[in-house]
Order: sequence, then C-alpha cells, then structure tokens
Amino acid sequence: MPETLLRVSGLTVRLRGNAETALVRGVDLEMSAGEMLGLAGESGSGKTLTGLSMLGLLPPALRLGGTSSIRWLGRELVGSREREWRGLRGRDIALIPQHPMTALNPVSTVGRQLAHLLKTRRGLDRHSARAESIGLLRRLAIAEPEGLLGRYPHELSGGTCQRALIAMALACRPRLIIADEITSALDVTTQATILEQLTLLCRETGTALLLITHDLGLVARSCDRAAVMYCGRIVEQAPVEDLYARPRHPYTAALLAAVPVLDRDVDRPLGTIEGQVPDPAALPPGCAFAPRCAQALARCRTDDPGLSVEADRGYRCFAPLE
Amino acid sequence: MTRAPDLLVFSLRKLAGAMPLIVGVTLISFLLTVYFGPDPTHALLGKNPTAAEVAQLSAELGRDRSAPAQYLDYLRRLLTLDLGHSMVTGEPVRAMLARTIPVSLLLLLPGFVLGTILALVMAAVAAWYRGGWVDRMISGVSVVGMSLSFVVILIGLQAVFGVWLGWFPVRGWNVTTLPQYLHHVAVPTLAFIVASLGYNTRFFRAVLVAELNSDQVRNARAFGAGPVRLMLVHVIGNSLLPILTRTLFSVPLLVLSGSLLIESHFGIPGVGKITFDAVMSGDQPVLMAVVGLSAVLFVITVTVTDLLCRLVDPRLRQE
Amino acid sequence: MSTVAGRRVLAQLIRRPLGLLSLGVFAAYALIAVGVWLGWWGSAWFELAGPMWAPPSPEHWLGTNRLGQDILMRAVASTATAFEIAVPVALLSTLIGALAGGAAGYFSHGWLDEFLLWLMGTLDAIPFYLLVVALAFALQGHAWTMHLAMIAVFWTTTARLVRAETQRIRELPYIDAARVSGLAPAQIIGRHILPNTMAILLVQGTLVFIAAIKVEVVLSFLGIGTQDSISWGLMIAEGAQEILIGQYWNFIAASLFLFVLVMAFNLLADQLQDVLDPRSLDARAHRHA
Repeated sequence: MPETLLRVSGLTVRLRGNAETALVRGVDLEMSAGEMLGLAGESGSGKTLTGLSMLGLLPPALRLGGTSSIRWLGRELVGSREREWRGLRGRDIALIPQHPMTALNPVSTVGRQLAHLLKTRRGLDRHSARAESIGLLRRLAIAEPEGLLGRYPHELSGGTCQRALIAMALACRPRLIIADEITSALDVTTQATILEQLTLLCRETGTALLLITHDLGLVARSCDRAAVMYCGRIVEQAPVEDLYARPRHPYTAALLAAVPVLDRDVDRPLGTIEGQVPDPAALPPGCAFAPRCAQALARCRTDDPGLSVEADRGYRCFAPLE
Repeated sequence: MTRAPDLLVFSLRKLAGAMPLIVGVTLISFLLTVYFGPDPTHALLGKNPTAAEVAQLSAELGRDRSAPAQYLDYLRRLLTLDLGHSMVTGEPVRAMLARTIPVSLLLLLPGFVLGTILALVMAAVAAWYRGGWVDRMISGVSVVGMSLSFVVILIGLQAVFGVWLGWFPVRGWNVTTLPQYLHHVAVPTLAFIVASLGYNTRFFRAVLVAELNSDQVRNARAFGAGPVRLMLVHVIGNSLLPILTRTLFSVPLLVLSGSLLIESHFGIPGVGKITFDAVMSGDQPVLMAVVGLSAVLFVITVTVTDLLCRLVDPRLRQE
Repeated sequence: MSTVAGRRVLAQLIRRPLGLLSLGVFAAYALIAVGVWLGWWGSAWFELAGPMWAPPSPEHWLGTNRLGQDILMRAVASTATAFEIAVPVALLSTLIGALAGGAAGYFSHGWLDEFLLWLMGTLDAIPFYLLVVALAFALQGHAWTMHLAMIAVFWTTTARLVRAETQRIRELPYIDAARVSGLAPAQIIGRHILPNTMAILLVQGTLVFIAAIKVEVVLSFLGIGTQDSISWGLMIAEGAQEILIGQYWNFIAASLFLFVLVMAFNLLADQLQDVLDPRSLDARAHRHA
C-alpha cells in the first residue's frame, strides 16, 4: 500500500463576506505517492480552486470554509501560516499553471529562472544547475536546450514556455505536481506530446500528478483514477477503466459522450449537454445536475444525493446508470 | 543583448526623432521671450533716447530683422552656447548658469532621491497588504500628501523646524562645509519627501498592485518565492518601466519648477532664483538660456529613459 | 452623457460615504463663493476691521492681520477668487482637450493628428512653472495671464486621453453606420464620439480644477499670480513672512481652506473614477474585485 500524500476532506471555498455562495462544496480527495489522478469538469466547476487550495493560493477574494481539511503527510495545512505554505510550495508540491505565456517572469531568461530553483531547492552550484537544466529540457524533447537557457519568455512559443514550466516543476523534485489545464492554451498535437512527456517523467520519478482538465479524454490517456466535478462537488470518482467502461453518474456519461474518439465510427454524433451550468449563487436544491439530467427523478430535485460507495469507486446520484 | 554600437545607433536615432520637439520648444521659448516679450531696447537706453540711439541698439539686438531670421539666430546661439550677458548685472549668462546649476542640484537631489525611494517603499508595503489596514493608512496619508500644496508644506516645515524648533536655518545658503550643507538642505529635502509621499506613493502603489495580481507573480508564489524575492524580483523588477519613466520624466520639471519655488522663497542662489529674478527684472538673455536649456534637458531625459527601459526590459530590445 | 446617466452617477456618488462627504464639502465651498459674488459676505475683506494682530475672538474668529483686516473674511473672499480661476480653467482646458483629442483621434496619423501630437509634446516638454513664468513675462501683468498659462498646459493630458479613447470608439460598428449615413466628421465627433468620453472628461475636469487651485497658490506665492484681489496664495505669501515673527493665523487659515477643498476634490475624483470605471487601476479597485 503506497503512502498517502494528501488527504483533502470537506474542502469548501467561499466568497469572502458572503456566507451563502460556495464555489467548492465539500470535496473529498486522496492521493497516494506516485498516483496519477485526473480531476475533470467544465469551467467553473471548482476544479482549479480545488487545486489552488492545496497550495494555499486562493485569490484574496476567496476563503476556505470551516469544514475544510487538507492534510499533507498527515499534517493539517488549513490555518497554516504563509511561511509553512511557502515551505511546501515548490518543494513538496509544484504547480504547472494554466497560461504558459504569462506564467514566467518576463524580464528573466529561462536559464536564470531554472537555475534559481535548482540552486535554492536542490543546493546545486552554478555549473551543475546548468547541466541539470539542460538535462531536464532535453528530456522534455527540447532540441537545443543550451540555446533556450539564454532566451526570454516573450521569444518562445506557448509549447516551449509550457515545457520550461514543466522543467521548473520537475527541477524542484516535488512529490506531487498539480497540472492546471496545462494543455488548453496549446494546439492539439503539442497537447498530446507534452502530456505524454509529463506523465512519463512523473512515472519515472515516482511523482504523483493531479491533472486538472476539462477533457476526460486526456484523463483516460494518462491517469490511474479520475474524479469528475460539477458545481463545486465531486460527483463521481473511480479508477479510469471503470469510469470509462461503466460510468455511474449521468453527468460523467454525458461528459464521456462529448469526448471525440478517433478509432470509433466517425459518424457518431458528439454528445452535448443540454442546458446551462447553474450560477453558484443560485444552485438548485437537491442535485445540482438535476435540471440538465435526463434520468432525474422527483427526488433529485429536492434532496441532495449523498455519496454511494461501491468497491473502489463512489458517486453521488439517486438514479445511477447501470 | 544590447551591444555598444547598437546603443550608439539607438541614441542617435532617438535624438534625430526628438528634432521636432527641440524645434517646438525652442520656437515657443523664442516666441515668448523674444518675439512677444517686452522690448528691452527702451529699458537699456534709459529715459528719452534719441531715434538714432534706438535704431542702433535695435540693430545690435537684432530686433530690426524678420522673425525667422531672429529665430535662426536664437537657435545658433543656443547651439553654440553663446548665451550673451545678463541685461541686469552684465555677467555672462554661461557663468551664471555654471555658478547656479550646481547649487540647485545640491539642493534638490537629496530630496528627490530620498523621496522617490521612500515612496517606493511605502507603495510596496501598501501593495503587499492591499486592502488591509496598513494599506488604508498609507493610502490615506498619500491622499493627504496630494492635497497639501507644496508651498504649504514648505512653509509649514520652515515654521516648525526653522522658527519654532530652531534646528535649521530659515533662509539663505551659506554653505562651505558638509555639516553646513546638511543643515541648509534639510528643510527642502523634507518638503520633497512629503510631496513625493503623496503623488508618487499612490502611483507606485497602483503599478505594483497591478503587477502583484499578475500570473507570473502567482506562479512565483506557487514555486515558493518569499515576500522579499517576490517584491524585488518579480513585482518591482517587472514594474520598472512605469517607475523609471515617471521618475526620470519628473527630473526636468523638478529641477526648474522645484528650484524656482524653493530658491526664491529661501533666497538660495540657484538656477531657479536667477530665473525668477530674470522674470521680475525682464532679463531676456537669462530667460532665453534657461528655457532653451530646459528643452535640451528634456530631450536628454527622454533619450536616457528610453535607453534604461531597453536595458531593464528585454521585450523592448526586439526590433 | 444624457442627463439620465448623469443623475445615475450622482446617485451612486451620494450612496458612497466619501462621495457624499466630498460633494458636501464642494457644495459648501461653492455656496461660500456664490455668497461672496452676491455680496452676502466677504466683500469687505479689505476693510480695517479691528486692531492689528488681534488673536482669534468672537468678533474675529481667526484674528486679524498686520493691517487689522479680518483673516476669516479674507479667506472667505479668497474662496471666490479660487473658483473664479479654477472654474474657467477647468471648463476651457477640458473643452479644448476634448475637441483637440477628438479631432486627433478621429484623423489619427493624419497631418492634424501629427501637428497636435507635436504641439502637446512640445508643451509637455517645457517645465510647467517655467512656461507659466515665461508666459507671464511675455504678457506682462495681463489679467488673464494665469488662466491662459494654465489652460495652455492642462489641455494636453485630457487631449491625450480623449485621443486614445476616440481611436478605440472610431473602430466600433456604429461609427461606420454614422459615416455611411453621410454625417460629417465634425458631427460624428461631436454627436457620437465625445459624449462617450464623458467619463474621462468628468474625471479630468475635477483633476484640472484641483491643479488650477494649487497652481494659483504657487503663482500668487511667487508674486506673479493674482493681482489687485485676495487669494489663498497671497495670504500664504504674507503668512510666510509673518511666521518669522510668530504670527501664524494668516498662514493657517489660508492653508486650511485650501487643504480641505483640494482634499475633497481629490476624494471626489477617486470616487468618480470608481463609479464611472470600476475596472480602473485605481487605489481602491481591488476592494470591489
């Protein structure tokens, strides 16, 4: 049984000065060492906020709700001082951000930004930091790593920036990498190769990966387990094969139907989900997905479905699919 | 990277680009001080001059020629630094400037440097604690600073430190040693700091807050950067353009406007004092020289600012 | 901006404590100024009303000056002077800035734009007080010298802002529609573009108002400002000498009158900016974010 790295329970994110509206509503999540977990959902489902909470990086307008607990190697992080968070960020947990083009410091070269991390996190000297940087970039299939070290971010393409950021995350040798929509800003071919390289490197180094994405297809290709979020709540969580073979929650099924699959019948129409994601300030009573759900029972519109656990998977639904 | 020849080419191109500006400023200064300015002929000749005397002096002063010819002559004299003599004291204008400019610089520089640094520090603190009580306090102080007239600050400080406490001299510039210098420069320096804490703190704060909310700063935090590194490297390092531009552009304004006020009030023999005296006594050559040179100073400032901006921001180095 | 929009801005201002406070202070000063113009009070500021250097008392709330003139009355009369300078300067420089900026932005990169940019660059290149002093030199004590000098300098910032905004608005579809329907450029600028820059004009107008009042003080202090009248600048100039002999009331009275008005206007400009453009990069923007 691998060691449990992170245990999130009852994670709630609220707007400051507004006790009513919750953007994340009681998320429970566990990650063990070396595990690859996909956290999928539409934009606004709270997946990015869940990821940022684990780094103590919520925007100033938001705060954690009272029930929230985030334990790292058994140590409670909620309520920690900024100093303790800082000891974790870029050391135990690294973030690969969503917008590669704006995430690097524009006035410093890629080489200097990488070297700074290698020097301060790993204690390398200038020469070994340079050698290590080159090695990292080479493993991310950068053709000419030496040249890249002297370049500024504005001179690079989105894909190259993203690779530099992945290299920075790996340079810290974290135990967990949170990858937040890392491919959504890139074109399709770059998406696939970058993700492949990242997962490969994570598996090699035994780094756990939390892949936050709106694309269940990406999760299928690279993760062990998948969690599907809707309106700030995890509606289904299961090993990837089970989730794909037999989704229990109608929302998961709908999301899967929206994933284009190349090796199947091209004429199959892509599924779309009717209706709109509800406003977090005006969630319907009962299951938040009920208004858009074809299977919804009368009960779904009044009662909140609790968690049903079934072997190594769980879902929140009164009318699960078979 | 910027290499030396590039730098030279860049500077020359900048200066060439500034030509219309130089023409504009010199033209305005010519129009105001020579063309529309009071005719010095009668002032120089005293009462009841003969027509012949008037004609002769007019010719000597070049006032009998066409306006374009007078303007070209004005430009030539500015370029060759042939600035003539004061009509009041007869002293060469060049010597007057050489005597007064160092005094003004000594008087203004400490306040300018300290005021800018302090404003930046206050702005950084306010931006870091944005929305909190520290921020609200600093922002409050800066609105008060903005609302105080520089004249009021100056006289208020003079009253408190000069008259009431008696720590610093009330007027004059009797400086030969370092302690004397510090003694005389204290009140003007304090005044500059108070004024700078108003406008500059507010401006710098807005710039820093915008950068603090940027993606790259959040990312640096995600990589565990501490507050000092975050503020110095990531926030200030990326806000240098507006900070540098504003600070450097205030130099010409400060040198002349600031010295005009402080020196005429404290009776300090700097370039502001001779400018003020020149206006009061109608001393055309002095005024012409000061306005013309201020244009040159402005163009130099623009060029230096552009160069520094290219130096601190790699994005500007692309052609 | 239509009167409806104007009323909405006013309503929002009043709902904010600082907005209400600053508007209230402004109204009080305006009332003082109107009272002086109508002769209700302050018109006898030059009369020798009492003994020299009288300390504050029920007859002379802020005491008297070296001639025995009532200091409060002088400060009150100066309020009218301040408005006489700041109102025309703010109105005219905003008007000129709007017209020049609108024309430059509409015809951007044409000869008119190039000329206006050159003119603005030139005016901004001359240190402000030096330009004023040079103008004062050229005009030699003309009554409107100070107004002229301030307008000459203050219109450029407004013009630059309006120019940028006009360039943006010009690309919007409804301007194309106006052009196709055969409106002349002047009509398009006047009817369709400038009304949409009202937010900029309003904020700039208040900022110029503040600047004009502060500059009057500096110029009068230097002795090249207000002539043959009374102003806070002149009082402060007197006060600067009187401080040396321990008489503070002239200085304190004028400084306080000046400070409260400028402070109220600074707050008003802030609040206006917040109300008109919540996205603005202003001091308090993040608190509403």
